Order: sequence, then C-alpha cells, then structure tokens
Amino acid sequence: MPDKPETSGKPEAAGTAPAPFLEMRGISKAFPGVQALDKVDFAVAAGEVHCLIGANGAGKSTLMKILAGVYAADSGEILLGGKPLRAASPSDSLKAGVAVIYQELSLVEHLTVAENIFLGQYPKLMPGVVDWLGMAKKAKVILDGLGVRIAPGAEVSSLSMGHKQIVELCKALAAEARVVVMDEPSATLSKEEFNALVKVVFDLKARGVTIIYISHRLEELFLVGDSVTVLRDGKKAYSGPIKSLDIKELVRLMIGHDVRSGKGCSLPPLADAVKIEARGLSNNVLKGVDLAVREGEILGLYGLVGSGRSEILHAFFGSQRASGVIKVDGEEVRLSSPVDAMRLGVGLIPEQRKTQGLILGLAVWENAAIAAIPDLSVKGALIPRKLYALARSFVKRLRIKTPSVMTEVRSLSGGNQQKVVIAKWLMKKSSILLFDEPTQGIDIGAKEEVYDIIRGFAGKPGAATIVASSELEELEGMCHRICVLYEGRVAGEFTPPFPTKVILHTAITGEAHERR
Amino acid sequence: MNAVSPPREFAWKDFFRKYNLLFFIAVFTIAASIISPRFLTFQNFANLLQQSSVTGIVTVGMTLVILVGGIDLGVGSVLALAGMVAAVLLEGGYGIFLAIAAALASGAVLGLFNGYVSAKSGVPSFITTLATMVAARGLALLTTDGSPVFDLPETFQWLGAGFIGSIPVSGLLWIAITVVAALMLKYTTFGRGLYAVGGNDEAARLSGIRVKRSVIHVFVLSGVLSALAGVVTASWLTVGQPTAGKGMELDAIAAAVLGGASLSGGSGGVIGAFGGVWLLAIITNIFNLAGLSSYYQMIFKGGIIVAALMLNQFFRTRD
Repeated sequence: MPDKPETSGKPEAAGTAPAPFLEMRGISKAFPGVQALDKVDFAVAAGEVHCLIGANGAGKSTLMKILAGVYAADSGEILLGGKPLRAASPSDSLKAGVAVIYQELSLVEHLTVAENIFLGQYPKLMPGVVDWLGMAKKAKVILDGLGVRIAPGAEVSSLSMGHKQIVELCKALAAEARVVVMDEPSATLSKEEFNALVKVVFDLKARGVTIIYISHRLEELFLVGDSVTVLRDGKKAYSGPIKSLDIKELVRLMIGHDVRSGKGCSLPPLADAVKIEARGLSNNVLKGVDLAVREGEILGLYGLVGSGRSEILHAFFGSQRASGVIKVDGEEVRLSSPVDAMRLGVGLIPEQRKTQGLILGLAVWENAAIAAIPDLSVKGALIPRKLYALARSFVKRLRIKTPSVMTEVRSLSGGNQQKVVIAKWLMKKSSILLFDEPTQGIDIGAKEEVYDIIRGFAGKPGAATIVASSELEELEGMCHRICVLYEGRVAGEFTPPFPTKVILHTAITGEAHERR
Repeated sequence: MNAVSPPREFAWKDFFRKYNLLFFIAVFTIAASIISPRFLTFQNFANLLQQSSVTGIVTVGMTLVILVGGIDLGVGSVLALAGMVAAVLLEGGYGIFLAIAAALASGAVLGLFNGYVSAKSGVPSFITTLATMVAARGLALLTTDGSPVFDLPETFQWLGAGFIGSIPVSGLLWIAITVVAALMLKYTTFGRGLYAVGGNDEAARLSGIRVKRSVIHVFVLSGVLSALAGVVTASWLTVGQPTAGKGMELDAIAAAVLGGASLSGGSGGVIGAFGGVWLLAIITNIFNLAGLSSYYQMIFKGGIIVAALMLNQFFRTRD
C-alpha cells in the first residue's frame, strides 16, 4: 500500500506531494479533425500501480503511445525521475526505462521463452555469438524470481495467454524497465490466469517498478491499483487515489453522467410466429442444437468460450457448415453461404469487429453500405450520392461519431466502429440479426447505445434477434429468454426473472439443476 | 463533446501523399524539356503513348489483381502466347476478328486457370501464376517450334501501328481501357467489391460479397488484357514473336505500385497505374533523347522506383 500522499485531481499542491517519478505535463496531440489530447497532465509516483482509464477514444492509447515514443506530442513535456525524457522513437523510451506491453503483445511466437525475454539483447559469448546456456540460466532466474513455472526453452506459441503476458513482463524486467505500461492485460485472460498475473504485478511493484495499468474491467482496478487517472474526451477528468472512489463514480467520471441500468427497460412485445428455428444443428462443435426465435423476441445465448455460441450464429448466417434443419418463417431453407442467408434477411454482427466486421481501409459510408449496395444499385452501377446520403442518415440515427462519412473507418473508436457494423445490416433492411459479443471492448457509454439500438431493432414488426455474449448481466438486461450452451448443446433455457446463479452453474457444469 | 480542430499545415502533406506521382511526372517532364527541345512535341508524345500502350494495358489488369491482394506473374507469357495464336491463325488465312477472338480466348482460359486455382485451392497466386508464366511461355514457343511468324497482313497492323487523326490507335485503346476500368472500380458493385475483398476478405465474405468469384473474375480480366496487349504487340511489329513480353510482369508491377497500389491489396487504382506507366516511359524517353545507353536507364529506373516508394512510405507513416 502506498504510504505517501497522492497527487490530487486539482492542480498539484506544491510542496506537500513528493515529486512524481513519471510526469507528463501539458500534453496535447491533434489528429486531422480530432483533438485527441488537450493539455493533459499525468503524474505517477515511484513504485505504484497507477490505473489509467477512459472511454474508447478518450485518449489513453494516444497518451501511452506518446510516452512510448510512437507518436510525437504537439506540445508538452515528459519528465522521468526528474529528467526530461526525449522519446523520439520506441527504442529511445525503452532505453530510458519505459516498457509498454500492448494488448496484442509483441512476442515472436516461434522463438523460445528465453529468446523472447532477451530479444535484441541476447547474452553473448563473444561479439556475434549467442550464449545459449547463459541466456537460459538468466531467463530462469527472472522467471523463478517471479515465482512462475515456465520453462525457458518452451516455444512461446505453446503458452497460454496468461503466460505470454508474464513473458512480456519478464522481457520488461530484462530490459531493466523502471516504468511498465500494461494495456488491457486482462482482456483475454481467464480468472486463474488473471490471479497469477496480479501476483506478478505485485511482485514487480515490490521491486520498485512503477506500473501503469489500463483496463476496461473496472472491478479489477480496485484489486491492483493504488491510484487512478480518468481521461474523458482528451482531457483529464480525475486523478487521485483509487480507494476514495467506487465503480459508480468511476463510470460517472468516464462518461460524464450516470449510467442508466438496462434492467427495467421494457422489452419489445412478443408475437406467436416463429421467425427462425433450427433442429438438430450439428458440426464439429455443435451437438444437435434445437432453437427457435419468435418475432419480436431477443434470445440470449450464454456459455463459456468454446461452448458453441458463435458457431450457432455462423450456422444461421451460412458462414459455417452445419447439418440439421433451419427454417425461416416456417419454411425449410438451405444456407450454404452468407449470400443465401442475406437473401432471407439474416445479418451477422461478428465477434471480431476489425477482422470480420469491417474493412478498415474503406470509408464509413462504404462499410455501412457494403451489404446493401447490390440492392441500391441499378444493374451493378452505384449511385454514390444516394449512398452517401443514406449513410449520413444512419450516422445520424445511430449517433456514430465521425468527422464525415468519407472518413476511413479505421480512425473511429471501437464503439463507433461497432455501430457502423450494425448500420450495415439495418441499411440492408435485415429482419433477423445475430449479434456475437456486440459490446466487447467498447466503453460503457457506447454499450448503452448499442443496447438501445438492439432493442429498437427488435421492436420492429417481424424482427427476430439473437445475442451471444459472455457477459451474463448484459443478456439479463435485454433478453426475453436465455439459452445456456455447454459443449455444443443447449443445456438450459431460462426466462425472467433470471436465476443468475443457476445460469452460471449450468454454463460451467452443463447441468441446469444444482446437485444436492 | 469531441473538440474538432481544423486541420492545419497537414494539407500539403496530404496533397503530396496523394499526388506525389504527379510531382515526379512534373519534375521529369521539366527536366526532359530542358534536356531536349524535342521532348515537348506532339510527335514525341504520340510516340510515347504508342510505346507505352502495351505495358499500359497489361498494367491495368495487373492493378486489378494487386487490388484483391494477388499478383499475376503470367502476363508476359500470356501476351506472347496470345500474339502467337493470332499470328498463326492469320498466317493460316483465318480472318482478323477470329484471330483476335481466339487470342483473347486463350488469355481468358489461362486467366480462369490462374483465378480458379488461386481462389479455390488456397495456393498463393504468386505460385499459381509463376507456373503459368513458365508453362504459357512453353506453349507460345511450341506453336511454331520457337520461330517467329513474319509478314502478318497489312490490315492487321491498324490496331498496333495505326492512327486516328495523329493519335496512335493503341494509345487510344490504352486510355479507353483505363477510363472504363477506373469507372468500373468507382461506380460498380463489382469494382467496389474488389476494394472490399483486397482490404479484408473475411469481412467481405461476411458482408455477402462472393470473394472467390471476384478473384476469379479479376484473373480472367488480367488474362484477357494481357492477351489484348499480345495482339497489339504482334500488330505493331507485324510479327508473331514467341519471346515477346519477357519481363513484362515486373514493369507492370512496378508501374502499378508507383501508381499507389499496395501489394497487400485493398488500395490503389488504374489512374495511378496509368501515371506509373507514363512516368517510366518518360524516364526511358529522357535517356533516349540524351543519347545515353539503356544500361544507365535500367539503373536509374530501379533507383526511381525505390525513391518514389520510400517517399510514399515516409509520408504515409508520418501522421
């Protein structure tokens, strides 16, 4: 626990607080059309775990990229240990002792753990000759020091996500980093892996390493963090000890107002007609799934990773093969490709926004119109004006924040990108929408908006909706019914009021009733 | 909400990034007109247009292939084969239209093969078309056992060597193909689909675009355009030459990339490629006008390709 007084959100009281170890002063950075950071002050005390949070697009990554030397700030200065840090490139800041662990990690998968730890600074027997034994020994010292059991000779590709994170931390230690930035380390970790990681983080802290911790999962900040800085729209909204806050306050600081709870919102009325149904859906993951969704219904699919959530959606969308019978509006259909499914009004909002949902290099209008373009064209010829106008109307309707519809979709924040994916299917006038993790990696404010869009869609006559999610709370807030999947089959089906504990139990054990 | 500041001082950078090819063309045009007063004459430009038309037509097809993230190494061999098909048929007394149609068909068939294998089997197009490059050259040589076909009928020469007014027909053909392809890329569902497929084929598939079909179509187009270039070459030289078009694939790739196409797919266009071909032609022209050996030309061309792309990269990463 920190025993020093923390810096406060107001201008630092001169004299009383100790000089921070890392200080970024008056950092501004503009990208064409957007002021990403506006005179942000960011100070971190030595040896603390300092959380950095903010909605998507608030400027966290930009700030950290400036610290890492990836971007140059338009104005402002960085002090490290009281000395100015001139980080013109990532190697400059690494030399100065700042290591950044990005979410997508930067390990060489086919090299060993030891090689990765010492990448670029291999121990040498003589100039140009790698000291393999020495390297393995040194790697083992670092790994043992952190109390983790990873073999230095193991190939990184064989490690779990959690262990890869730990190898990244070892790499930072080997480089004698004094400040380590961890960008969303927990996003892809299981609970056990996360606990192991936290132990390592505390270990590093005990050795005097200063850690900047970025995460969307607010609960875990209270577990790991000493203090917190909140960014909002490129400005600092708060900075201070984390203990004096709770989650609700953090959220308020992040989005600038209170969150409406999804619960209690009225659900769209249900019709009797079944819109889409499947019987005996089977493939390498699915083991005979029966499902039916009625008009107006929002069906939730809940289950652990690998339980078959995405596979069901892909089978309905024709993008993955499955045997069994699928009926739309009571008629049996053959779905051998997405084109077939789209013709029947089915649309899929896939799990991986950037690799499956969007073409990042194309403009907002084109990503939004991509599915509907054939319908809106005359004999294969586009009518650009019409498409731009339509895209603009959807940007407005879904409140997509973008400088223009001509902007590359790459430069939008996660939440706005997701809205563009949804716009694609609304523009196509789909009547059956399949959402796969629709709010993954987007901030709370945008989440609420996505929920509203889903509810709005489901309320239209003749619509049917399936939402697959690993966040039970989100399903409970908006679904008429939740089906729990376990190893490729439907293990239980629940209606409100949802018995949270039983649902969790079903997802983990595959049995809908707790054993006596 | 989001503070939107007006973009300042970025303007010239953006401009340069987008139009740096024009900048290079302007620089070399000025240099050329200083070196030789004959450069800025209508006659010289007509010559340039005629000389570049073959590479130009091939480059249009190549650009489309690169746009979907592929590469077509077979263009030179297809060019030679198509030229031989046309020449042999003409020599045998068949009509011009039949000869040309058969030549184009041979290009289409090879393109279909390239596209089908690349799209359906997952063999990278680099390998598929490398095979076509070798095999089609063999086919071209086989048609006459390696010897050229001379003395093609005079009426056949119009396409490659004829003029409309004082503008070469082959140059007009190149311009027309470029314009049609540019309009297709911008204003048709097929054209926009190519950008989507090249940018992210998985997202394109999940948006209802028939990815494999698009790839096959693009390779067929490239095959047909290479074949057309082969017909133009045979018509221009009045000779069916089985060794024609050697190294053409590299010129076409260089021109397409100079014109802004990215080898990873999803960006670029045929107007840029036109500029790329034009730039390379001007450079050759300068050296010819200055009376320097073509060996210097080759070295300088290599240098310019690297310099232009490095500059491009520089402006791309500096934002």
